[in-house]
Amino acid sequence: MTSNVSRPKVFETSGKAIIYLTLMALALATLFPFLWAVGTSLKTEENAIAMPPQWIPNPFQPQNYVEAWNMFPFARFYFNTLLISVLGTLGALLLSAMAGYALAKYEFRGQHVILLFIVATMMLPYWVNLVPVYILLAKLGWLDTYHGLIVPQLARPFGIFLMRQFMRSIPSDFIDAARIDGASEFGIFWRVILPQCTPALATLTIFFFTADWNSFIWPLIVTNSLEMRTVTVGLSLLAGSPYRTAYVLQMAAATIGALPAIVVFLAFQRHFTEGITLAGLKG
Amino acid sequence: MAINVKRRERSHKFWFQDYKLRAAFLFLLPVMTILIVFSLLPSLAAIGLSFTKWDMMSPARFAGLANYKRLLIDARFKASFVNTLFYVLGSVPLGVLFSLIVALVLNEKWLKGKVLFRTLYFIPVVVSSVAVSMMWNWIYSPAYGFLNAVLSAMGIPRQFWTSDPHLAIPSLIVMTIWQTFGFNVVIFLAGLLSIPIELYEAATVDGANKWQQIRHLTLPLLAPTTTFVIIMAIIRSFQVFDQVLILGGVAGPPKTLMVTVYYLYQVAFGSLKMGYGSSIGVVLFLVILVVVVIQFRIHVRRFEV
Repeated sequence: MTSNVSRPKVFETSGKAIIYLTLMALALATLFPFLWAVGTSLKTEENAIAMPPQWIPNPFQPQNYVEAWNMFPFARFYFNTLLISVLGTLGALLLSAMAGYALAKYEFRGQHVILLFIVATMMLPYWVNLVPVYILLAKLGWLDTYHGLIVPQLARPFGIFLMRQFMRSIPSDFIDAARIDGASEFGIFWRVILPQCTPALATLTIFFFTADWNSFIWPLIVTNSLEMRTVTVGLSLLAGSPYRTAYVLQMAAATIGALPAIVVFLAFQRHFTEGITLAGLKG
Repeated sequence: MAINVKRRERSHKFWFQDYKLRAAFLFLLPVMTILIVFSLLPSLAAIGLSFTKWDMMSPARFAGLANYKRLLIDARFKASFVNTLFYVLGSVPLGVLFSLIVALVLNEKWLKGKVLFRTLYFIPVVVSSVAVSMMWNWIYSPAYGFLNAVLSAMGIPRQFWTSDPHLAIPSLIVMTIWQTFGFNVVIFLAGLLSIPIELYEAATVDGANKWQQIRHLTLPLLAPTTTFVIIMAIIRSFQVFDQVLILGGVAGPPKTLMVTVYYLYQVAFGSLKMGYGSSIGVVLFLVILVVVVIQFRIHVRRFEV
């Protein structure tokens, strides 16, 4: 967009400088809580609460991380969360792709009703289901188990919808050719269609994985033994423990909990924003 | 998100009559089973449960409208609802407006480093609200927190950010805007990209200045995106829970921070009043439904009629 021509160049340049500075200040404000947490996590207990605050940790205490890690069975929490996130993500990818394929490439009665039903379940809020699903899992004997944590999350309307939208853009000629060659229906899905869906699958992987990794209220309710807790629930236990004011350890633990999602996001950030665009705006 | 409901030539067979349709049925079976068992039926069950009294030990008893009548006079529910409403009314307009301004600036053609800014702003979105709330809890700490350190350096007395009745919800709002604006910015940017550049060129030729272009071109064309962002923000902010649990700590949130979903959690899983808890869930759902429908109607009336 062209700027107002009548305005002198000096104003324009300084206006741009102000905008850059504001954007940078905003970036700093966005990062500050993380930087402050990491800084605190590397300080001694006395320096963390010093007034005025100490900016750079001195002496440097990386051993806080070892202490925080050992306060609760964080290794076990990490293992649980990783297991749930990996299995949950793979399972949800497969089921979303299967359902998306059925809705995109087959034609049958009630197809639109099923699609509408799936989209409508996106709007059912989790807190309405909180009590009944808890009771259902209790009756099934699934409380405090891995399958209790994984199975209910395997059908994700958002993923199904995205896969359907994506698969509609794949020409059906491939499918017809494979059928003539005598491929089975599942064989066509697995060997012909799925390999062409890599971009959509990559996007969903990041969405599902970060959602599983950060999931909180369900693991909080579904698990009750310490061995079955996840990272987020472990963090909340630490935040609600007598160590609540041991800020150095709190910040070390929070950093340990936050890091995997940030790393995954930065590694795949292109797919991430693309996916939001794809999901939010294209019909 | 519009679904393409264009009718095509379709087979009128049922699934069991054709091997291809049998395959389609089997592809859909797992997802449909899980959605029905863990989503649809529980939602219906919640409505049923809300008319009973049940502590999970003795059998459920039908209680008619007792739970709903009780909600009307439950002062703690009312307080939690007022807090939630205050939170929604504060965080949604401010958060959306703020993200919109940032997106408009990032959309400027001459701006360099767009991807970098967008990426940095997005980082809080991907981190769990539990970890993020622990970090803010430290910043808000009354005795040693960074915020109070800044205030005392300026000679202002320290504040109780998360327990003071005037500050608790605003503190939560600030935290929320910080955590969610990156998400809104990305969606707004995608919406802005879909506005054809020729329209701006034409407007410039017609002599429209920057502000007129934004007001009469950008904002109306961005309206569907704005509605989407607002509705997402409304739904998200009504369900605030994690942040309150962490800021509340061992003893649970102070009265000033009690929100409806936390109250539901406390009633159902703390006091094992499953029926009463369900009625809170149903009422909250109806409230959100009404708010979202109103929001949607305003949008339709304004831009599509």
